[in-house]
Amino acid sequence: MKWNFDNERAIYSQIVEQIKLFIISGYYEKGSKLPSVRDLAEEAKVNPNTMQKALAELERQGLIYSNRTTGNFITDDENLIKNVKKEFADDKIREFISYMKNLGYDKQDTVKLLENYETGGNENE
Amino acid sequence: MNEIIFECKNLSKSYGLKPALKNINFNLKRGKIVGLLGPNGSGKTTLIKIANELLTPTSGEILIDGKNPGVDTKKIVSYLPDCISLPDWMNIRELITFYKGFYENFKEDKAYEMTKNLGIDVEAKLKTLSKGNKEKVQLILTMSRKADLYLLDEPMGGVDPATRDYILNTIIANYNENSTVVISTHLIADVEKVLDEVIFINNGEVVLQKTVDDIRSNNGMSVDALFREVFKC
Amino acid sequence: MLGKLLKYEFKASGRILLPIYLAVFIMGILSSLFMKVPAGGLENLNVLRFLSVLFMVLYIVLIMVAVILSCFIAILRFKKNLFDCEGYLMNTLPVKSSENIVSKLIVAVVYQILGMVVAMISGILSYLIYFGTKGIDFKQIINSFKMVFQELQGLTWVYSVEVVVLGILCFIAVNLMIYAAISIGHSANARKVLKSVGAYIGLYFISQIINYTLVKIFFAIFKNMLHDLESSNLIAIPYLTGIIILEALYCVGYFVLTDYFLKKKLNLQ
Repeated sequence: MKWNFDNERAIYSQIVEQIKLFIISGYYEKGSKLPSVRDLAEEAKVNPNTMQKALAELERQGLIYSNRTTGNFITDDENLIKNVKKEFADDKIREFISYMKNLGYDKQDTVKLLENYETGGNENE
Repeated sequence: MNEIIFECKNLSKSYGLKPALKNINFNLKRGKIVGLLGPNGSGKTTLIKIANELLTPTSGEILIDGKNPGVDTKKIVSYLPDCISLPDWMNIRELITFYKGFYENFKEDKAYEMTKNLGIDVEAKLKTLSKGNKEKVQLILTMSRKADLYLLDEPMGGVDPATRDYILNTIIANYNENSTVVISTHLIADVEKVLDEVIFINNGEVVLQKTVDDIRSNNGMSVDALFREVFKC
Repeated sequence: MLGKLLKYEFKASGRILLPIYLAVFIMGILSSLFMKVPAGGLENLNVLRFLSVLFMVLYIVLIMVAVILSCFIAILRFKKNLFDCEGYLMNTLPVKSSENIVSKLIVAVVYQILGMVVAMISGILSYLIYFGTKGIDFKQIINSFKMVFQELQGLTWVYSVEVVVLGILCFIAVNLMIYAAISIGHSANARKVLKSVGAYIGLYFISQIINYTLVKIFFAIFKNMLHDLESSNLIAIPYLTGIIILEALYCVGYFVLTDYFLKKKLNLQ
């Protein structure tokens, strides 16, 4: 997994998003221990304070929990992870639908297109 | 130990009649990585030199951990100048011993580890090294100190992108809540993600002091883009 | 910290000066040996003559180089190490500016005196190798020493000590005056070297005016005592002491000036 950042949004919110992706994709297993803030910062090449801020936000949302002595852990609450996954999916769908709307397809047309959509040779998913 | 590690109070400096800094006021807390950003000749180097007592201010003052620059502040400030300041007749091992002798907070192990990682031969005389490698040695010696304040003047000017990454990693790995790193540079895109906050300086004046996240969320653009906008020619 | 600075300074200057001093020593021995070797055939004679002259010339040139270099390096170390790029390192070490000055001063004076001592010893050694001890009339030397002792009425030690002290003070003062001039010149924004030379000339004139005035005053006071040998002997020691004090005051003055400019007016651009 790689860390990617764009140039428009605050870095800490992008980190939050990336770690969420890491969690729902299973790259970070539920209940497992997160690397230290410093290691994470080094890996993502970001400021350690920013990384700390992002982890605090994730903790606030319940996706990670910290243990004073042993470090940060990913939540093992499967429902929570599922919800986040749903959120991500909803976001993407909203984006997609509005894009299709701009192209002139209404919802029904779009669904039809989706059903008839066959994975082409050079598509992966 | 003061929470504010670095402070400029009404700081002005002119060379003869030419002003280089005009009534500068700002302060930096401990535990930050700060970008001192501005075009060439904006006053970045002058500011850093005053903090190192290499120049005397025309008026105003700089306080480091509450003290004016002097022997006490030099113990806790690790300075990377914008030119090679090491005696070139010594070999790298001798230079490491030199630093160890003068700076209590110098970590010899770390220096040797970094020379190894960057492929510097410690038995080589400095004068036999390429300019890029000389800069690396200087950076190694600067970063091997466990200082309260790092003042890095153009640390990435002459080195290759791989070394730039190594430098940034070293700065991140070195981070702790007691020390502050000031990086003066005009290569903003490279350092942007590593910075907590930035200070824009132009024509000897501070134009802006903001956190990187604030700039991105309020202005909706990267620091690099904002810099290009502010300093448009 | 002064100890560490001294160690570093001794090494920095010594790596150039010590090999030259050694060369002076060796060349002195070589040249006198070659002069001494008896000539065999005529051809050999010419080669030997040539070599002995060559070595003698080299020897003298080396002595001059050593003396000039010991002064030149003292100036260069001070300027290069504190006011050029290396100044960024040396002036940000956690040491007082006075320690930087003192370390450079001690090393400069030690190498300058060492250079003279080496030249003297190698000169005497060459003489002894060439002439042997035969030509020296030890009795006469001892006698002349005795004469001096009697003349000075037991004050020889005071004289010797004072002369040595004055000699060292002169070395110190000359170096410090140059240091002061360099520090003053380099506080300027431009034309630093030119202004250093200007500062040197200025300091030189000031010291000459002071010296001239003081000597005038001194002789005005002791005018009557200068006529006969007996009483001029009496004022010799106070006179020497006076010069020592004056020289010491110059040293203090130049030092304070150098330190002030290094600490308060440093201008590394």
